[in-house]
Amino acid sequence: MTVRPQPYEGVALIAPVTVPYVRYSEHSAAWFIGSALAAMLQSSGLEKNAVDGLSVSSFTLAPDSAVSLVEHFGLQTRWLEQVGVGGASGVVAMRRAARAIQCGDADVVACIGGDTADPRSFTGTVANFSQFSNDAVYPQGAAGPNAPFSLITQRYMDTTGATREDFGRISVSQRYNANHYAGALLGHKTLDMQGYLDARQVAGPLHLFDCVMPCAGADGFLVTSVEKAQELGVPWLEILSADERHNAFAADPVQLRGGWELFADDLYSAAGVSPKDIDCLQTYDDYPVIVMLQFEGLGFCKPGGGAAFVRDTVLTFDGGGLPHNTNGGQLSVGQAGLGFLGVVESMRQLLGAADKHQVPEASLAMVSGYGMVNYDRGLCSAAAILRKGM
Amino acid sequence: MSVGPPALRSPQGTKLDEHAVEGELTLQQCSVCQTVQYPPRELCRHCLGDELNWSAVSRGGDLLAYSELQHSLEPFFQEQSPWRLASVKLDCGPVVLARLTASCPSGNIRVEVSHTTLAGSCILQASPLNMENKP
Repeated sequence: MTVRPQPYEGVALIAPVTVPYVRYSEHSAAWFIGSALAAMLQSSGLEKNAVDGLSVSSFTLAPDSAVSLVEHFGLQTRWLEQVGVGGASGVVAMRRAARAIQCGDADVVACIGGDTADPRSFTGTVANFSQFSNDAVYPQGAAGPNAPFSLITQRYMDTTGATREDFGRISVSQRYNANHYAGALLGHKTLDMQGYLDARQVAGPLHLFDCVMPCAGADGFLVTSVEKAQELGVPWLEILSADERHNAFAADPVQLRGGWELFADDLYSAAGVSPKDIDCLQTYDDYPVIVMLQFEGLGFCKPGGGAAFVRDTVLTFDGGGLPHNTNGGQLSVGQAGLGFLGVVESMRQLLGAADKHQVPEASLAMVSGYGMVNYDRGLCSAAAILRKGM
Repeated sequence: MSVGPPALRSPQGTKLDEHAVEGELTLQQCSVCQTVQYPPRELCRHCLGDELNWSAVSRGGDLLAYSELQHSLEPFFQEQSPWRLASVKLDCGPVVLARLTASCPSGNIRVEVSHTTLAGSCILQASPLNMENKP
């Protein structure tokens, strides 16, 4: 029987980089993506012409595209990809690039997610996000993603008994983590449960600290072979397992589960580990309810058990429970670049490079992605288990 | 500059608006497999056929969730906030997002969904039917 997906043997992840996030920027998305590339070259010691593959993800790159950037940066690549699965793009880009390395289609692939932001760019993205959204969501109140997510959150609360305070545990612990990460845009502000509960209402059950702040920034990493990483003499990570699903459970009237549960067992089995072995977890936190769906779908608790799980589990990076979104996640760092934040944070934790928010002795990391609310739910789910290369 | 509702629609969205009749519900239906679909598209989501009719469909459905939007990206809606938004599972199949005509509790609420016009913009609205359930 075919093992699907096939193992990622021989692949190395190196050089996680972040171009610091800012609320608004005069720079283009190309500047952020190109600056990430420059930082990776510096970190790895590679020359620019050694990069023969490029994978980019951005909501703000139009009218340019991945190939525009190849010219823009003076590259010549034999492999090129633009991954557009929203917040699942980081994990998905990693999977695609890993296959290119395994098949010998490229030697070094730069995977970068980056966005710029000005006071109008978010409104522009939301006002023309998808055909279904333009026809059937935006005309109904024009609240952007807050609208469908307020309905998902309300239904989740009605169905499972989750309360605002349960969601607050996620936001508050992530803010604590962000207070220990210099790159978090909201890291200089503390947030306690009362502050969370007292925040202004945005849409139904969603209040201010349930919503991410769109911003400018970029994250990226290089994917290459283990041989190449050893030749460079840089620390590297291996992909123990990774998978994705799109449009899973389409018949569910409301999204109370994502595609993760269709492949989570196989992820653990391929990696030879179980959820209790995971030292740190990065989920895609566009809204706390989606974090709960990931806890459930990835096997950290049973379906519908997200609220009970966060009541019983310390989520801070140094609390000894399940260190989760250890740099503050998008809720406290900011939202840019389509789900690369969690991949890069996982890499830093495993490399022992997370500075003041380092999880002690992190050796096994899981990162999860979620994305693209084309109509009433996020369509894309992805996840991976990573380990330091030996 | 007039501050109206957002007017951007796809060609299929424009057709939906053109077929909308106040008080009724007209959605795409596949002439081969009879699947009713929403949002509108150019192929049947079930059989991928392209012979789609605009049909008056049954307006009844179950309220899935309800939320009051306090904030909008469009000044037109911002002026009208809070905007009462509901998701409804129609008896004829699809899930629609619609404006609730009255505030109502969650759970076991039957609604009737129909087209209506708001400042020249076609939207869907949902009217609760069994409001005696209201606590």
